[in-house]
Amino acid sequence: MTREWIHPGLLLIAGAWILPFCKGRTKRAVMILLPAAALVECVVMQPGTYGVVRLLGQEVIFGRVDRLALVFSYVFALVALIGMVYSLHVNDDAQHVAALTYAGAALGAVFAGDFLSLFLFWELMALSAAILVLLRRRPAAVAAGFRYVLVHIFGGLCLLAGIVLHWSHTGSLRFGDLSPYAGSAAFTLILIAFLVNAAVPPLGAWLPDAYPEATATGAVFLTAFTTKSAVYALIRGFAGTEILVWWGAAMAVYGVVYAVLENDARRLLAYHIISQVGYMICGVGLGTELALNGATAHAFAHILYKALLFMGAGAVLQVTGLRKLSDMGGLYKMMPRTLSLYMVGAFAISAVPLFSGFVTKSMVVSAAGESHRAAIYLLLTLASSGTFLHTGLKLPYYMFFGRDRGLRAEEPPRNMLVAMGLAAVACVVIGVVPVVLYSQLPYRVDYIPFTVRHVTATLGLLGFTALGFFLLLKQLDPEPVVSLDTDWFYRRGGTAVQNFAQGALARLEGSVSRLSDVVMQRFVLGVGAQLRDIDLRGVDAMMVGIGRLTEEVSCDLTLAMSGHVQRYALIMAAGILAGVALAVFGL
Amino acid sequence: MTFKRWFHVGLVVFAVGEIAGPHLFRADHAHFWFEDIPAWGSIYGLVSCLLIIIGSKLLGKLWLTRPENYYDS
Amino acid sequence: MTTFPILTVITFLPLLAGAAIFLCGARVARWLALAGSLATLAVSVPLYLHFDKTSTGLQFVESVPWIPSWNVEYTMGIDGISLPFIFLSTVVSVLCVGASWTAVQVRVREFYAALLLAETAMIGLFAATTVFLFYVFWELMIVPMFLLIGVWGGPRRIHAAIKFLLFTLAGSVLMLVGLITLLRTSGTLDFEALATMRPSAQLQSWLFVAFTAAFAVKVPMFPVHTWLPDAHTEAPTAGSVILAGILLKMGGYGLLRIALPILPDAVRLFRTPMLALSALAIVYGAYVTLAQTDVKRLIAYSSISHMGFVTLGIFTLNRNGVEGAILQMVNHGIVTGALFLCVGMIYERTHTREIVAYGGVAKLAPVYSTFLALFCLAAAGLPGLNSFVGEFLIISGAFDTRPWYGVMAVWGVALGTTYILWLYYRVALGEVKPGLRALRLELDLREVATLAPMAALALTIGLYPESVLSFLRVSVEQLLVASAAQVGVAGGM
Repeated sequence: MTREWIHPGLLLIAGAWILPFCKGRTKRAVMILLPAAALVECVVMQPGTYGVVRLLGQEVIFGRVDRLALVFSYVFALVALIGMVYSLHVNDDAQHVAALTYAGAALGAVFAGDFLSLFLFWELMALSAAILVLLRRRPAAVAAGFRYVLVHIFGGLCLLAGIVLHWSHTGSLRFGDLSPYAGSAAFTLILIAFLVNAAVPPLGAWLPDAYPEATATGAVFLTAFTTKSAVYALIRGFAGTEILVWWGAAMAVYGVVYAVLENDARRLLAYHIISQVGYMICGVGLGTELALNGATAHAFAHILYKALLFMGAGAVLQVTGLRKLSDMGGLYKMMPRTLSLYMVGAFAISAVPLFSGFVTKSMVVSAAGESHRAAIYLLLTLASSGTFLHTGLKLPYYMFFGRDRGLRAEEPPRNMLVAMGLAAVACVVIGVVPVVLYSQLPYRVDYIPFTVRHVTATLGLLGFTALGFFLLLKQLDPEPVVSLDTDWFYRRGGTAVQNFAQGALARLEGSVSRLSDVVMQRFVLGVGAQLRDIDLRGVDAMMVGIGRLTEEVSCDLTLAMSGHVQRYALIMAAGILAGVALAVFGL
Repeated sequence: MTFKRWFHVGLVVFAVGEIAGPHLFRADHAHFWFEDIPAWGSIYGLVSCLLIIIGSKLLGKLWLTRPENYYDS
Repeated sequence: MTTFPILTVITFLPLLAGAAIFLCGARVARWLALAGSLATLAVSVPLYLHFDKTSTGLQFVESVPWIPSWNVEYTMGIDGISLPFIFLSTVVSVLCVGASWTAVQVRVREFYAALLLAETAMIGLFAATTVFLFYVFWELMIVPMFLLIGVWGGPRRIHAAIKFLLFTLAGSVLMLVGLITLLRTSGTLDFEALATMRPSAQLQSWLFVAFTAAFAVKVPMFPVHTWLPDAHTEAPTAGSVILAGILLKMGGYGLLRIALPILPDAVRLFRTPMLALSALAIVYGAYVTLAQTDVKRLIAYSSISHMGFVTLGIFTLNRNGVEGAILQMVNHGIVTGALFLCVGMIYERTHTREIVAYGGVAKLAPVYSTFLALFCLAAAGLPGLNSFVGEFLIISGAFDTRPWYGVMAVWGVALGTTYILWLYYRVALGEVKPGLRALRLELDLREVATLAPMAALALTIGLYPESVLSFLRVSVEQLLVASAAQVGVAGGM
């Protein structure tokens, strides 16, 4: 029996607008029901093609449902649900609508079968995410949100240009594997656009810039969708692109390096997003079935454990108002549950056995191994060590342990803990019973994560990373600094453009304007004066009559009696008269 | 203190487990030669950690870090 | 023709209403104007319902001999290209009446009469099928605009009005010369007849210069654009809306109606400089917009950039470009008209146009800010709203011509999005500026009713562009085929 296909993304986007009209219990119920319904819809959906519309002579496909799209849709809907539970206590409808729109747009992008619908949802994601950042309503957040918009507009335009070029070369707008077109301008532009959203350095500075500025609840949504829908898009269109292998590995290390220097808790986690996405990009580049499975699985797990980590840091922010590690410490006594749940996330991201990261990250690393790429393998493993160093050691140490500063704190509201619990459960389930995730991956999975070598090597890696941490503990004390990233170019560089526009260009425009004034007036004055003289001698009475009329008309006009208007009007009347006369009798 | 004691015990267990493991149980094949180095994971873990910390701090001190209010106009 | 002369009626009905205003008192003037413009809109509805989208000829044709010795007839008729503009004219006129309801307090009768006269001139121009009638309405339009700017405008209105007048007349004189030449050499001024004749290539070039001088001033193209910022800024709200919404389109329409079909060799000859000037206008206009500190001036300069897109699209001479250009003219009329309406509404309360005086309006007037956000996003080209489709088609056409133009166009979109969102950011977001709290900034029902149709149009066209494109398609195809066939060369270079 075929049933009507409802687009889960549109369900969220449209359904979000019910929220401003509900109150109290109903509102909270709707907040949970919407993403739950979307999740149910994703789960019962059958593969196929739905929602096809004709536009501009092309097919616009809103529902391209296959295994790859489905697995991403599950995790997007799930994290939307978790995020909504986490935000139940927030009394700001705008944030909820923005968050649900954002989630819905991500679902839309995942199911988009052609470039036009992809572009539509791409832009909608950028807009709703920017609004979500803005809604913290602090000057820093507003500025960061605006920068977010600018960067994503740039990415969006690259995508638009790439789409148009692709359309004109191939005549088709279908979104599929683009490797046949490798090296063309369209390929490059679309790749750049996807890389911007995936926060690949040097295009990714927007991520650590914007994410820490959002609200505690908003940030949870932000971490999930933009980068992972970009990963999805890369898997779909750019699998096997060689350059991504190196870029991804570099990215994994890049994030870890910056994280060492970070003082802001959530910015540190944001740099880790970049690091983890690096694994996924690397997997996309490797292109083997294991690698692509790994990228997908890692995205799935990452969304959940990253959300959990941000929820933990957000809880601390919510309860203490602190964001900088140099201000925190000694919270373990007062927030033990938050700490434990956070640590689940930390173990998951660090790939501790029996947690989700262990069974997913290793797929990508093994894929690098099977392709006999030693350097990539070593880089990724180095980054794994760094990951544990920061999220598993540095962050909890300075946030929850460390120097006791006598802070007052308590456990966050219950809904936040419940949400964190849900995510934690997911991380553990995937870690213990990986087949739950493996069965959903796009390709058949032969990979077995629990091998002796793998388990012991991982434990050794993590354990001795911890040793290194304690040995160099003094070095790691957080300092109140910011690190320069590529956003420098448009934060400092933007003023240069503004100065140019307001300085040199404005002067040029002023000159052009004045020039035209002068030329027009001289020309009209000159010619008109000549004609006036001729006509005065010739058609005397008529000129006087016109002059009188002009004077009367100009008196009626509410203006200062400058006399200029009369002269001009006189001259123009003369000019027209002469022109018509010439035309009728002359030519 | 006990934490330190337990920590060191754990390290020893991990390192020994890593060295002994492939011999006690059926070992799966390694991708690269360096994976067969005894306690490979432990060694690389320590090396990575030190490299990252020292390298990043150097990079920061020499180039990347600025005072907190650098971007405030 | 014994059928109902619908085009003549909708052209002159506003004029009749305007005349009627003078017979009645000032208090009734507004209502009469509203009734007149609504009636015009209502009478024009059958045009859309009975329009044959598959026909290549003129429809609703009316023809009456006028000046036989010059072979001049009074003929009116429309095809797929004129129809959207007539729609725009009728709708915008109604909204202008609504927007000026409380804003105009002096010489009320004259104001509404001028508005209605402008409407007559607009519709007449788009319905005309001879160069003569086209020219008559072109010139007729100048009078009410001059008065609107000069009498009811801002502090520097006289300067702006005179500038507008001089620039437009300079172009018009040249167009008159061209018209007369055309009449003497071809013996007819009828569009369809002229399209089948072929003036010599050299004559075409002179004619192109003559006519395009007038059109280029109206559009406006760089470097004859400098009248626009002053005129738009100093005009009263309704004046700005008509200027931006319709007047500029008359230039683009003229290019499509006269230059492309009648002077195809010249069009090909001048294509590259026209494309280059358009691309320049896009980018230059956008950069200058960034520097503006006056809200109205900012939107005015953005029009230069947007019309650059239009002329770029026209001169690509391919289907996407031309369809996109026409659609974008409609879109620009809606979006920029709506933006001027928004600015006018808040200006009525604050009496300042300086951007620095604004801030945090979103907190004080959420409904207004939502409308403003919608129109700003539409101007920025968000997919799902109208401008995106037009831009997409034009960019596509531009890339087909030469990639460089596509790049300039995309760059223009990037800048356009930046300045308009930055404007919104400064006006609506951020801290509430002192002095704003005391004013009642939120919209009343009449103002919402004025903005709502524009918002609905922006969404409808954005989500369902076929609603406009389906009317255009056949006529654009015919236009391109005709202008290519005469030269024996197809498409892009």
